[in-house]
Amino acid sequence: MTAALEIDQVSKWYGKVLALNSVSLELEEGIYGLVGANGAGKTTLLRMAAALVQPDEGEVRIQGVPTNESGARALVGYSPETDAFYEEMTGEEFLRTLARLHGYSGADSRARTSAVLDWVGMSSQAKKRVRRYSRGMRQRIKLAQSLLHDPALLILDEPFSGVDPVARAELVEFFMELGKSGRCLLFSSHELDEVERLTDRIMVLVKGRIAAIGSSTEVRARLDQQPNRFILEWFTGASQPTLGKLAGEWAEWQEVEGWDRLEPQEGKLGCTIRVTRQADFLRGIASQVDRHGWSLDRLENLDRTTRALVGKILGGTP
Amino acid sequence: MSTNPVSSALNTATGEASLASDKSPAAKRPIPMHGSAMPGTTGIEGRSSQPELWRGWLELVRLTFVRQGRARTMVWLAFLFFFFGLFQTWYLTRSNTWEMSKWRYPNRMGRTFEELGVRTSVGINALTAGSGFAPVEIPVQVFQGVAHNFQWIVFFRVWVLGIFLTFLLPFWTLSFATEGIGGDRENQSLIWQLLRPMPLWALYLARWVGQLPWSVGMVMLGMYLSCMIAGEPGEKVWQICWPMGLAGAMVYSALFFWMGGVLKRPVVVGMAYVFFLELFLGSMPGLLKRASINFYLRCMIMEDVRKMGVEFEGYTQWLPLGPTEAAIVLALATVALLAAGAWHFSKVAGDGTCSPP
Repeated sequence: MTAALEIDQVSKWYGKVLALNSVSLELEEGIYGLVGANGAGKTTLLRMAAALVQPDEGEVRIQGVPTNESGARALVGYSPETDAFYEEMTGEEFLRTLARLHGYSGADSRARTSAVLDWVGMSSQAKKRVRRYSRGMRQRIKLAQSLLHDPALLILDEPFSGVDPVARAELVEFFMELGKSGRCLLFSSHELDEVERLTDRIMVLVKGRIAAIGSSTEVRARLDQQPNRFILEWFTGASQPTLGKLAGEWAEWQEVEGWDRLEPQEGKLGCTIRVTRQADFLRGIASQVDRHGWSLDRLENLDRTTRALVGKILGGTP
Repeated sequence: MSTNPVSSALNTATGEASLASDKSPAAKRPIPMHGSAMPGTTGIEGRSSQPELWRGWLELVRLTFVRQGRARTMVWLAFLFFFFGLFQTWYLTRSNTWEMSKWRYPNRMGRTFEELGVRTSVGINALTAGSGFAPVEIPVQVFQGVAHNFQWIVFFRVWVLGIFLTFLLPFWTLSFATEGIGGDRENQSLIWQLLRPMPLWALYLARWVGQLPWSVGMVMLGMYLSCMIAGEPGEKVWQICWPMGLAGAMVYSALFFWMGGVLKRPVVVGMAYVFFLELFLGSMPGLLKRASINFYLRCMIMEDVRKMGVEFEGYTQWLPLGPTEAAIVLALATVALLAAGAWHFSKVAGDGTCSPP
């Protein structure tokens, strides 16, 4: 079976800036979320997948058709982040125009326009000019235009950008439906909550490279190779081990990269520890608790949320 | 309950009852199955057509033509200069500017032709006094006749060479042609066209053809109306010059359209080209001036003007081409500029620098 989208060793430069660095992906039907910080190369990757931008190296194929053939654009629907419409047109006129630009006859364009307007729930607003639409309505029109030619591959660039929570919930429902429809839906977002709600297939793009790919669990496991920060706190007392004693043992643990003492507060001692291989570390801590009769008050992974994990490898807030 | 026939057909095709309404959330709508939810696929083949490239191309020509007329700064400026040009021609005609009687001989320093006529009459009158002849009015009438018959030359020199070729023609085409793709590039709405399954060179050509009625139309209409306003001399000039106007509009629109398709500030670059490079190249000695479009436009008309008895000083040193050769060069230049523009635009759009993220 031909993959919906194949990206094979693709690189792209903008002048001296390397936007994508040897990226390879193969997507089948279903929903895929692409996460990355600003400037990570998300839009470039999506535009390449939509046959809008050609790679400098490597090849992109949509259902086996190379994107340097204009026919590839007939196989993909793309909803850009750009919010530029033909503002003077009504929503219906806009969609009908795009259907006709696609090469459909007048009657077919009307039928397709009507169908997609109905599906995105914009039929009653179809006669209004686009310039009078709210952000959520504009996102729906963008989604509708990407469906006009019934593509197998749908690419949505930041579809939740600037949308209020109600419209966002509706868009999530739309995408869930599309994901069940036999299509491949690839979308980018800064909102990891939305990504996790929609799909278990997440790709993390960092500085033009795929840093992690898989389910949120797999992404976490992948990210587990990266240092995680743990915080430990315990009350001082005669029966409690000192930080010096514990730290002396940690020094021999390979998974511990380092620690920082926290200022004592309200009779508590504490420290933060940077570790790789969380499981090994936690087993070691459990052993210390047993051996020293250590009464821990707090043991928490500061990077336990996906947001924090991804944020960490992105080098900033995603 | 949806009453839309297509939706009904889709619902039938997907085997689901329609619960769709505008206000219901997506969950209540029939799930759009790829390959069966849209018209043109399973279930309703008979009502659908396959997409055709030529249909999309023609729609793009239509869309370009319709959207080109939308008021933008450059188009407003073009119309402003259009009406200003007409007013100026009307005013100059009304002021008898095309009359040669106000011309001086020697140039700028001597007496006007009108004064010369009167003085000649007076002189002859003095010589023939008492001879029985009374030819006083003859020289005046001769001068007036010559001046009247050569009004078109004045109009040609002042309006065609001085105003139209150096300013109005390039400016009118520039106003529309740079906006052809440039406007959509700047506001990023070009993406809706780039997404369609049309080769980029075909998209480029469709946009050029779509803006052509505006850029060429404005040039030809402006030229025609100006000539008609000027009266008899204008009519004569129109007959000589309209092919040149058409060729000029085509070649300039191909050039400025290219600039609009790939450059960030096409209007500024276009103006700089017209008012500096063209003038500079056009005034270069020898064959260098042949790099200027303006040179070929002049070549298209000069021969006809000379055939009508007007000699231009230093014409042969100007190394002109024949009008047919000049027209062929301009036609080839139009095709070459279009081809180069289409190639360049395809490259820029494919590189992703045409509609930056």
